[in-house]
Amino acid sequence: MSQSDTRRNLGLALLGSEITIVFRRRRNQAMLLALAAVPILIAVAVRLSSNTSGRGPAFLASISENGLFVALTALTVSIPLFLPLTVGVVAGDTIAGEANLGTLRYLLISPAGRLRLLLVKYAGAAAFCLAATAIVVIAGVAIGAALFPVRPVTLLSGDTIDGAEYAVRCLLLIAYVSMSMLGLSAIGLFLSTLTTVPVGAMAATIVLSAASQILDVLPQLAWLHPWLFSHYWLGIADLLTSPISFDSFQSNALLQLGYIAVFGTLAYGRFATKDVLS
Amino acid sequence: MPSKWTRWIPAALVPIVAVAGVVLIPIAADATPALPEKSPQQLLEFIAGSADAQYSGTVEQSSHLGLPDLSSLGSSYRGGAGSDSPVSAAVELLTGTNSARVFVGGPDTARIQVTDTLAERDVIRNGAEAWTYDSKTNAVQHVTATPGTRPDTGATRTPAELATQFIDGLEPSTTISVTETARVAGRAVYQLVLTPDDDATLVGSVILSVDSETGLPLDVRIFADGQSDAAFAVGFSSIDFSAQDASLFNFTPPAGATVEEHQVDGNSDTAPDKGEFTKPEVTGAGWSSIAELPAGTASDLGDSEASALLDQVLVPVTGGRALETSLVSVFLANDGRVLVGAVAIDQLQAAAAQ
Amino acid sequence: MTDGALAIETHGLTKRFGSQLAVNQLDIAVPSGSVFGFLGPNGSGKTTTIRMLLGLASATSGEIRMLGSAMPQSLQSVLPRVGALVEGPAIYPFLSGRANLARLDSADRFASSRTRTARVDAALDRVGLTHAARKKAHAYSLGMKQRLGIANALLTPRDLLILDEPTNGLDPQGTREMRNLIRSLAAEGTTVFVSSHLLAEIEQTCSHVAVMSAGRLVAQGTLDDLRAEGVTRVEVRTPDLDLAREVLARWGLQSQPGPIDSSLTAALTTSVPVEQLSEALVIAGVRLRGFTAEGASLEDRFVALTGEGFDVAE
Repeated sequence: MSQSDTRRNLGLALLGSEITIVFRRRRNQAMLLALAAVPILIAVAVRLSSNTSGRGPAFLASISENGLFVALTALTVSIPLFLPLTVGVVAGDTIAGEANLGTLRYLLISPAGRLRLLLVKYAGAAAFCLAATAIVVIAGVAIGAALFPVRPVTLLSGDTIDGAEYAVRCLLLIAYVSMSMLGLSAIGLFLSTLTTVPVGAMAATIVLSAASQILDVLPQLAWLHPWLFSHYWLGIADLLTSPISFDSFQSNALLQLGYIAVFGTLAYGRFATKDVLS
Repeated sequence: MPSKWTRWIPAALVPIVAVAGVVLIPIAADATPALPEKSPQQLLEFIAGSADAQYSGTVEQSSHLGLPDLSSLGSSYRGGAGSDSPVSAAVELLTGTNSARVFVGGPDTARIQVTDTLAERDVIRNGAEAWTYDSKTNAVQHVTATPGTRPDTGATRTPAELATQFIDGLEPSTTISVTETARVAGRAVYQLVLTPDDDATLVGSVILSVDSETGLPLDVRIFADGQSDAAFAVGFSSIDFSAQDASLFNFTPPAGATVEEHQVDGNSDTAPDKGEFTKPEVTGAGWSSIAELPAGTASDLGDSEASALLDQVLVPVTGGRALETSLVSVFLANDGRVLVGAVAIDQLQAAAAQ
Repeated sequence: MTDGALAIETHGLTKRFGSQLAVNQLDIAVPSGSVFGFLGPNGSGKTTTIRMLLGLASATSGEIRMLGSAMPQSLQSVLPRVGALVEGPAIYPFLSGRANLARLDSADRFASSRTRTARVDAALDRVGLTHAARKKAHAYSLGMKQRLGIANALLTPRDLLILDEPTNGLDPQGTREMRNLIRSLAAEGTTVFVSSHLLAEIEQTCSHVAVMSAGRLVAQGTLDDLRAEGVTRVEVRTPDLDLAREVLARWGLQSQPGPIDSSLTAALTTSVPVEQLSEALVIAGVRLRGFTAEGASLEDRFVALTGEGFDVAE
């Protein structure tokens, strides 16, 4: 028999292939570049404007004094809109994009296995979340160091930390924010199993992220707030106090895990029973 | 495929497990832990003995005073200095939910961090020194108390004496009792209940939750008459009784911060006095006391933002304008006097008329 | 694989979309080693059947066995031995042809990553795409995409190939290459299951045929069987017209005078085996000058079986 010489392998090749595809797509590269442009635009704008004490996010004024704040400001600006936008595009594209190209049927008869394909697709989206967050922070740190003086960083509590600890906190910020996007990715994955029109799944995902953030500021719905996946998105302040607080980190991790579990299993239920007709 | 529906089982189970986890885990913890009984006197002594405790935790404060929601007006997002005005600060305190991280390293070292969205205000006390830091304005205030002149209140008295003094002060107008045990921040607590005997006051009862191991008060809730939810509550949502790192209380102003120095006479409070408020005149006794501020106070409150806020909450009544909450009433008489008390508006009007 | 085993076998296979029966009680048997033509007009249920065979869609009822295993329970172990082209090729337009194949190959857990590059190149070579392997697939013509789809089906040695309309979009040259490819694969022992609405294609390559119409199987067997069944008229040329008329009448056939004087023709109303008829005439002593079994062409037969023929079925 033709298979006697080959053994079933772990199948990590598909994961590798998926990650390669996510990052080789022009569209995704363009989105990453746009994210990198956020800190650059902020830094250049602040550098060019003589009046830096104007209104704006709390950190904007600090940039001219300390370049390391560029990353933080860029992250704060990106979290409500740009990050969910790009993550929504990638997550909404996962299954629906393959269905739209028709490649979904070829992956399935390869056979990729429906659960395995779903996991690999989610892993690809998660990798994009990490890259998207990391690029904002890294571009921010780089442009900040290039355009502004770099001093020891003052935390929100007024305490000062050195470069090494700042690097640790930057890594924690990346971890926190990319984790924040995982729940949204799971929602996108589920929506993506419902349709063969990727744009529909992307738009629905992005609309949900906006809706969640709107609900989160309506005081009448205070009881709902801790259950909204965007509730802890701006909880990054916890990582910038001294002593560092992991309260938000923990609550956020639990919440995102809940969303991953709920929408992951919904996506599985849908995808494993779906007739692939495209 | 007959087994098709089984693929949906995980999707059905996960929310059930999640909801069960959220609902059952708090229930699983014994809601009324068994503790050795204590009388109010013993409990108060217990509290007084907790002054040396070291701990850190998160304090949550919430108000349900029946005020219109003003969070959009008193929003902390606005960068201008206006939001730091006393009125909007008060509004913030009275309408929303606030939280702060608290670190206590003994009777005279403490650090409080109030976190806003991507901003933080710190108050650090270390012996005779105190610092405040506001990350939004990058401003530091440094207060040093003149050493030695500080009268040593309390230290010479035993916890038992303090308890007796407290009870004697309240006894004529208040019933003090200890009700069933409860849990606050995951710890077993005694609950001390103060119930005003006075019918005139809006205060229904005050419940003080006391940690059963250390005697530290963990939670205070003030209930308005006939309300089941606390009108005002402040308490720990989490607490950890471990020794605190001394470096936490040694504050060095960051580079670039504006530092304002204050010298304070050891006799007054550590907090810097912001203005010279006239001492209010108090009429009535106990829970239904009314404080009266003389004419002119109302106009002093005010920048434009403050008056905008006041316009939102004040209702015109006979003889002036009033703010009525479930717990406290404020009456701004037309002649500029301000009357405040934990009583109904008509009593403030009556007091103003005298 | 033993002779006589079936590569594909279905029993009562049914697929219902809402109130519409796309496939109705389908029983097909594809012998191992055969080149099996799956014929039917557009919309007759061919592609839906193929989707069910490959586990892309679930059957409403009925059973499927493929390469000896029950489906869809054994999908994961059977599919690596099956290459398929379903409803046209599908490509990642932003990847090169070679990267497209590598991507799909990586989804197969039995496919070794070590031999991937070599296998991809071999598959590209087999369909004549080597020169365009580095080109981005969005620049491919329809025929090149079709070739790429075939190459994907040939990435690993397969026991069964399921090809849905494999010559779609191919020029005559490509169509011929496809026929040769199918023949050479069959010669290697691979069972090939080809669906098509083009009769000529099936006629030239297949050993076995099944015909579908409106979700039902209307005929199945070897190509010769189907041809034989298609005989509708015999012409007998003989000086012994009366005797011949008598013999034909014995088989229940009404005969008329033929196109020339000494001839008879008879329409085959029932399925009378032509070879037995000729035998009977000879035994009866009819001196035959000629005996012609006139077939409706296979095409007529196909139209007869599928009703309106090439119109898209509702």
